[in-house]
Amino acid sequence: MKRAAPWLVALAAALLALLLLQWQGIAPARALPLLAGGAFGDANAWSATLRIATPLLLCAIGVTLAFRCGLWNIGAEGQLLVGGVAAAWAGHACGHWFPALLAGAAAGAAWAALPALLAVKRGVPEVLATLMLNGVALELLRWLVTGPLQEPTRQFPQTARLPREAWLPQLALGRTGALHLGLPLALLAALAVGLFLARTRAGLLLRTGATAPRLARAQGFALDRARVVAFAAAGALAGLAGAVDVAGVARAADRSLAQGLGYAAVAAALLAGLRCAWLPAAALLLAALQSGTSALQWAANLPGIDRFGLLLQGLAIAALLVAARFAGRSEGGERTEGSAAP
Amino acid sequence: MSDLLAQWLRLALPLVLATASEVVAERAGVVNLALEGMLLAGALAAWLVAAGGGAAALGPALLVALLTGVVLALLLALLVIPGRAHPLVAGSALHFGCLGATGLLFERMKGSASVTTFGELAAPWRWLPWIGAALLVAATFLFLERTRAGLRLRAAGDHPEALRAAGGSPARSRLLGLLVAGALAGLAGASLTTVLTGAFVEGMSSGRGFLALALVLFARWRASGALLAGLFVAALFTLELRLGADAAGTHGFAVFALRALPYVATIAALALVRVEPGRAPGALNEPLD
Repeated sequence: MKRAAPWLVALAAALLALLLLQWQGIAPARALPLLAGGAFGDANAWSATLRIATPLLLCAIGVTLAFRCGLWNIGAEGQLLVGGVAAAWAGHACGHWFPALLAGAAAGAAWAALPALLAVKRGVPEVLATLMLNGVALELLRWLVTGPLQEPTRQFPQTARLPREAWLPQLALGRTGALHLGLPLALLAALAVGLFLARTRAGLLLRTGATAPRLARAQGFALDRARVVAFAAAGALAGLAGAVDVAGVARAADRSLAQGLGYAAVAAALLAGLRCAWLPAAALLLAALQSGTSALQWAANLPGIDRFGLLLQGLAIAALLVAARFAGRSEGGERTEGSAAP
Repeated sequence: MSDLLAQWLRLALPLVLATASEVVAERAGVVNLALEGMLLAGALAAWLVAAGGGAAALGPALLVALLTGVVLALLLALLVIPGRAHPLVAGSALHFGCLGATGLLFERMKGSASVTTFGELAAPWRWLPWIGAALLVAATFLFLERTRAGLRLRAAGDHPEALRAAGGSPARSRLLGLLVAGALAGLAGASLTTVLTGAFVEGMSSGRGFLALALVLFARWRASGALLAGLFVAALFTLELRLGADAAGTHGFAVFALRALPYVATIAALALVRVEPGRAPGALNEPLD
């Protein structure tokens, strides 16, 4: 019974999803191929999935890094937004993709360093400060794309389109596909952060500091400074996520940047049990759910079915949670103790 | 001037109720990250019942919104207590679920019928939401601080093992806390449609649920504090709306600064008013053994 439980839960969740689809007027026999095809069916489908998965993975790595250090980073959304705008500006100003990525990472790092400093110096819970800064970042973006950084014709609320030299090199899927340099960068980042946390002295002490700050400090480790640096690095990764989306696919920054990717990244990080090795799979799964349902919406010509994707995402997380419980794995990996509650 | 006051009170209503809801949940030891989604669900439920029904439909609308919140809270409790899921992951799952479900339902049931708001009613009735909210906050305060069930609930959030040693059930207390929190969240959502606007708009809670998570710290995990914190931030929002109306038509930095004001002010206030970590419930988000 115990071994079968996760499968039963997964089955129940799938059945519920199919019932919901039926209610939406799509027969499950038609919906499933559409869903799967929309996520992985052809080059276009892969492109749509990877477009979400790549920045999602980068954000989730940053979120994981912060969590493992005992800091809750709910601000990937805002860090991604400022990173995307900075990349759009730098890519246009310099005419090359490298400064664009650099600017995106720097902006994300700065956006994250502020709440980290406030947490260390003033005891402001970073979970709240990052959440608030998400709102500020969105307003900042809205102002910049209608004000100082608006495209030259001043017709559309977006930044100037990047010149071709500032586009990220494509790896496959044609010149406009979403398989660009961002994906290997993200995979490399997952490897690097995983190794840093597992194999270096600073990584070990940061993880120790998450549960036993006094023990870490007793080793003569400047925990507060290291935490700010780690948090800024997490922000840099989220900023990079915005930058690769702008330089790799969107070519300009506008209000459609992010759209909840930063929040989905928290879900992806926790789904992966805060293990870097599992992050790519978690990001791919959540991205496939989103691209699959939006393909379903187009194919079935149903308005509102994109909300179904959100519903499905919630359902999938809940099902995996219960499955993980029955599989005896503690979801969330080691429990993180934030600097302050919640 | 009275206009300003009325707007301030209108904006305070959902914030006060949502913060009180989160206070109860966190005192019981569970952070309710799905609060934002619950507000949306409550708002939609109230709208579905009240639309086109006139003043008579308001009572049932509030009741249905309350029950919607309770059912959602029960789902969260199932995931967190017997399911032993991390409350933040379970909460985010429920939040996404609510976001999707409300959007989907609204798309299906879209109508032009509007809700009669409490503000349109005659004199004694139009004050009902505020009298009700004040009574609810007072009742929540008394429940948490003065009753045995409240004491057990606080113990479930602070020292579950002590509660168990004393013969209580932390699981039952956490369930109770979440259900009460769900009821308050549902009503907070209903206030968006029956007091603030009279219509449902997708995503109309616009971050209030998340904001309430921050306000709990100002409230120092007390229902009385929820009242003050809600009123404080509502004053900032009123200011923003007023100044924004004056600046209408102009674009640029001033508008951005105004919109960002509530967020920046909250961060600044948190930095100035130091929150002692010791005030947070001791076993927040910790699973029961």
